[in-house]
Amino acid sequence: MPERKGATVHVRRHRSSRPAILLAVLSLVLTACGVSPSVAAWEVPSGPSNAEQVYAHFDSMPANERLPALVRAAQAEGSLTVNLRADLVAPELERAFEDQYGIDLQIVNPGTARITRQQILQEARAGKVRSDVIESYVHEMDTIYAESHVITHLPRFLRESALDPSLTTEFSAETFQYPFLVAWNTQRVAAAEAPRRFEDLLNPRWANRLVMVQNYEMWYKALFDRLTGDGMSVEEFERVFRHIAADSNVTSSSNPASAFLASGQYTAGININLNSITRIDGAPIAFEPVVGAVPLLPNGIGLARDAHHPAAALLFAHWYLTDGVPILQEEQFIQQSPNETRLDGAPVVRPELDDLDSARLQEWREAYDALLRGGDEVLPAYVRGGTP
Amino acid sequence: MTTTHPNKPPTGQAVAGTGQTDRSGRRGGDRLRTVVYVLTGLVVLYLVGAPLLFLMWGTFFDADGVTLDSFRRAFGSAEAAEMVGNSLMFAFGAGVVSLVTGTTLAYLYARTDVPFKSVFFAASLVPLILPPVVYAPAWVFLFSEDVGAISGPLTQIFGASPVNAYGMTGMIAVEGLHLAPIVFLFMVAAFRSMDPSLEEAGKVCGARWSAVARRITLPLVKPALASATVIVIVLGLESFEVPVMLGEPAGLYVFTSRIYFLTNDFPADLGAAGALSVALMAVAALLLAVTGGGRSGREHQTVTGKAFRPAPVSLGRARVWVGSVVAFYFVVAVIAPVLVLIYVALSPYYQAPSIEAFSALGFSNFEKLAELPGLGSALVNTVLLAVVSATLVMLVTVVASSFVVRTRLPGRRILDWIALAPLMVPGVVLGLGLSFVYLRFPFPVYGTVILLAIAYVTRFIPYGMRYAGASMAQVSNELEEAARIGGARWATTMRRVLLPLTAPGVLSGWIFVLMITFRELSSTVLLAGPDSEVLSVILFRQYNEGTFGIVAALGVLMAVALLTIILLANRLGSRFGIRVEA
Amino acid sequence: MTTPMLTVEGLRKTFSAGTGRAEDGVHAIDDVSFDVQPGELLTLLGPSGCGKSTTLRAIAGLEHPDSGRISIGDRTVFHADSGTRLGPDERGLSMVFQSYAIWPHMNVFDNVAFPLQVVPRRQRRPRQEIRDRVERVLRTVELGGLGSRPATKLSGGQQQRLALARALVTDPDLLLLDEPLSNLDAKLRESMRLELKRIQRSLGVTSIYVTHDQGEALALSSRIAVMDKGRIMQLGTPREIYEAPTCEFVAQFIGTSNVLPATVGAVEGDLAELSTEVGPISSRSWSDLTVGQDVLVIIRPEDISLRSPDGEGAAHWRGKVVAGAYLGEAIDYVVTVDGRELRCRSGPSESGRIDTEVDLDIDPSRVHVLRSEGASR
Repeated sequence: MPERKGATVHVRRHRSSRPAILLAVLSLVLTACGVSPSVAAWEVPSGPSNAEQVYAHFDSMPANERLPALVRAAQAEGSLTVNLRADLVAPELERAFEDQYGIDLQIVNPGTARITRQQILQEARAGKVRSDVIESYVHEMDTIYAESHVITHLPRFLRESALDPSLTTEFSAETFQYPFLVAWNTQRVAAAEAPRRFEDLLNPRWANRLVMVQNYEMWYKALFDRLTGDGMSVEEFERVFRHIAADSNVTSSSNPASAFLASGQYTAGININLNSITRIDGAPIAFEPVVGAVPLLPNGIGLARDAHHPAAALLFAHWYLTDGVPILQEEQFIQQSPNETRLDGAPVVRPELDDLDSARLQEWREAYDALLRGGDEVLPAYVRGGTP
Repeated sequence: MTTTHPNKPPTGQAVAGTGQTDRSGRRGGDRLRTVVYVLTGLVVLYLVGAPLLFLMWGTFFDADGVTLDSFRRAFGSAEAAEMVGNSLMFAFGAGVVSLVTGTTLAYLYARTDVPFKSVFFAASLVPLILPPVVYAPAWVFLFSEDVGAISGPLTQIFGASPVNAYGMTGMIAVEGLHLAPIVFLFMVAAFRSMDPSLEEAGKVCGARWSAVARRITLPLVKPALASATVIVIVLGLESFEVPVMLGEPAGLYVFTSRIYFLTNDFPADLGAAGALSVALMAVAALLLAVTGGGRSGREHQTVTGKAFRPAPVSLGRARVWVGSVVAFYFVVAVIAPVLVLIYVALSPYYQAPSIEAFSALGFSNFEKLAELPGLGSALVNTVLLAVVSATLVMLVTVVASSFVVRTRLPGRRILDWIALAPLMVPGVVLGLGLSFVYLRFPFPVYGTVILLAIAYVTRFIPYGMRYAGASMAQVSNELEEAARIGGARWATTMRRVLLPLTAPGVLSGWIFVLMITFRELSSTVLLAGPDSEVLSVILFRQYNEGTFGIVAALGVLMAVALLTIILLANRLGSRFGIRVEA
Repeated sequence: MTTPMLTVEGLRKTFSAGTGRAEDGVHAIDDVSFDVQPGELLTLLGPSGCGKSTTLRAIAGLEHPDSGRISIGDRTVFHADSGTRLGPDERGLSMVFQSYAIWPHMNVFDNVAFPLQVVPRRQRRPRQEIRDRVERVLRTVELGGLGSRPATKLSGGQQQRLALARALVTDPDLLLLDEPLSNLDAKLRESMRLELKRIQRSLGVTSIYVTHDQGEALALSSRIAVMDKGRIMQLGTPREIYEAPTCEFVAQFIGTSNVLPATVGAVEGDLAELSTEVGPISSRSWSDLTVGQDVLVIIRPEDISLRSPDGEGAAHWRGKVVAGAYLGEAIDYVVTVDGRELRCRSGPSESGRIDTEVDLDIDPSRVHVLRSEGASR
């Protein structure tokens, strides 16, 4: 700022301003007393929350009394907010649930699983988790618990409501599955040239024309389990997928990958969520005959630890796992049982979650990340070590 | 804060006019003035200081006390070195592109008889109307490999497109073109404020055009050029949208995008993000300190004579060529992005332009947009935040700059310095710092629009200072002194003399802050919660989701809204002297 | 007479309104012609906006007139009809700008040496010779020994000398000076004026000097061209301009004049009798008058002497002093005669008190008569 000359107005010193500044700094420091802000701000809760007590209360009820009591309590709460991945049928779900129970249901859907997690993390940081019920990939649900403790252990009766209890974890019950498959642009790839096996994608004509999606370590693990189970050697698997990854561009989720496929920017996608393809009307994308095996990634539903509407949350979760199933099956490529498939003739794979603790999950995460980045350790040490 | 003293009507004072009443009246004014200035100073200090303090704290401390481990985690890998290299290459590359483009255009505009002069200022509005969160996608639509509206046909003709939106060249080109208008406006001002007789003297002394340019014009605008260089390089370092949207798909990270991903990855490493933030600010501060921070343009001013506008340099036969280069620039930097946005907005899905594609155009994206959940509340939040933030910024900066510019009170330099400090705090860094502060805040501010308002006010205080300060500096001291001698106290002088005289400048600043708030993303993206969604975040998320049609539709609507504001402002401007510039 | 150093013929320039180029009104020149003899100092004098600077800039080549011709020596540097348009760098003249145009990024020496350094390599003087010439010209303008000082560290008067040195270092045929003294304070301006005259005389450099200050013009010029609204109203020596203005504008602009409408009553020999609204007056300074003609009578304030009414002899007019201003070397009075105010000036020893009656004596040879139309020659 240019200095003005001749400001004859008071040049008296204001001693009051300096202590005031000091005071402000001091007060800042004082209010800031505590742990460094880069260390997680929330603590692992001690003792059950209000909502957890409600969950436990209904869980311990006799089965025949539970539902009527739950409906009454939920209707008393009047409304709830749920964070669902099943965005395509959200309006139908809302309508059906409201019609059945007269409870105001609001479904929020932030987008990809990763964004769901970020958003819940944000909410947790703000100390106000808005959702009473949260749905994401089953393995993500574990992460969400580990990261923010916003969800809680699932009541036993809910776990038993799930169609396939084997895909139910401590924090979530499986709801439906997304198939991940190889898809290609039909304007760029004639039917005769379409890939049949992953090995076909090593052909130089695909170089730099492929797209892979980030954070799909579960797809990677499921495929690894399936292909090596079918007799492919670990070395061969590593060779094939290193090559494919080297020829691939990377996107953050299936939706943009599908958009790029539809536009022809990429010719084929390696791990595209079928849900992303079907949502683009008239997109020139094909995925049949299906390449290799199709990993199905299960989504699961969990309850918020600090739900504002705990009874309604319980009621919705139960409803979603039972009465909601037909609605889900309309659009979401539901795979409630390993035996049913809408992808006729395609071998489907479900990731084995049993051998996955959070450390191994993290190893797969890092391995898949390394694969996309062209790093060295493209498989977790524990599977590589198994085949010298 | 501009009310008069309730007990003593100013008229009585004016009538009495004795030394004693005058002095006591002054003292009353003084006290109010002191209170207002100290309060404003504290507000600015808190806004700017708190997030930076907490950032330092979060970076250098962990649960066990002082640590430098965050720096080890942030910089301990080979990728970190690559990231630093990328950041510098991106910032300097974009800086060079913008400086060459902007300075050339400014010289052509200010000094030659180049055709299409009206086009220049239209082009300079681009950064305001097409914010990066819209501009970067537009460039993807134009130059994404194979299918971009421009690169697609090029690929078909040449087999490969020479330009690609993704990757370092794309990032540099897009950021450079987006920054060029800032350089342009800066350098036009420099060329114009230069006494034209300095160049004329050179010519009369027998120097050719080239000698005049080399020995007189360039050395004279060198200080301005140096300032512009620092500004664009710092802006390049702070840029968020372009690296995230164009760099990440190519696996390129810079400071800002790394900070963003570190805070969003699992497990989030806030300490490492803090370390990157501190390092980035240190680089920016170092640049500003070494070069004197964009304020060195004054030393060369001498007495200026008559306001003779020099006859423009005749380009002669080159005029046609230069004109077509300018037209080409305008088409590429302005027309093409706008057209492609409209095209993608009307396409049912994102595809390369073709006859079938054009026949399928429709409004389905706008229908989808209308049904987009959360859009309504985001719109309300955005408008509300823009109005509230702009108002608060101007309120604070009018008082602060009256303190800085119009008094010689102690502390004014410090306040000026603090108020300009956010310029070297990148948006993501500010967002991180604020999240550190307000996660701990006793009141539930985190995740609300209030936090966003705090972020915007902090970020845009420097711009408010610039607008308010500039218009305050134009008001002659004597006008204020005359009011004081006439018996008006400080508050009355502010309200009756200073504010009315500076109103056009303040209003221009208000509109400017309103517009940049409207599209702010880099700090918002870390702070917006489910209840405080804004349009820019929705745009960013839809882009990440690959729903390009919706991105384009929303981008077009945003551009139209911003353009409308500018046109309204300029219409008002012709009446009230309001002027909005980048 | 030798070839004129500068010939300007029929120069015209109009700035169309609305281009934003003319900052305060329309600077136009309208059929301006004059020439300048070697060694002469010609002043273009006039109020701001009269076209004097535009004329000068046209001579320098900084402005392109719409029509006319400019020749320096026997070289045509501008001719609208033939399309000759030499650039300022090709005209071989020097110019001192109103703002001095001292390059702030160079020191004193470099400022002065610049014109010698930018000539084409073949014609460039050796380094040592440039140094000597710069030193010499710096001494001429009394800036000797200041060569290494940053130009911006000079005082206003020194900057002015520096600008002059830069203009003189090439020994120009023609020196253009655009209000060179207007940025100096009054005292300095006075001494620089004498200095400038000394230097100009001693070097014999043909000069064109633009100013709005009539005192400067009268003191410095060989000849003065008084300009108004783009035209030359009168061109002549300072004495001619001052004592025999040919139109009302010149009379009013140069010095202070009392201008009275009058009618010619009688002409007897060299004495003309005129009647004005304040009374009759005689003049010996006129030409071509016919009885009954409407004319303007011009009387300089210093040509009116005041005395007490009780003195002897018949006064021309009797008036009343309404105001007086003591100026040190003189006293200015305002005297009303029949309700009309006349400006009078007398020596400081004389006195007339406010509200007293005075007799006004005017020497007929100092009463100048103009035809009422007052057009230029």
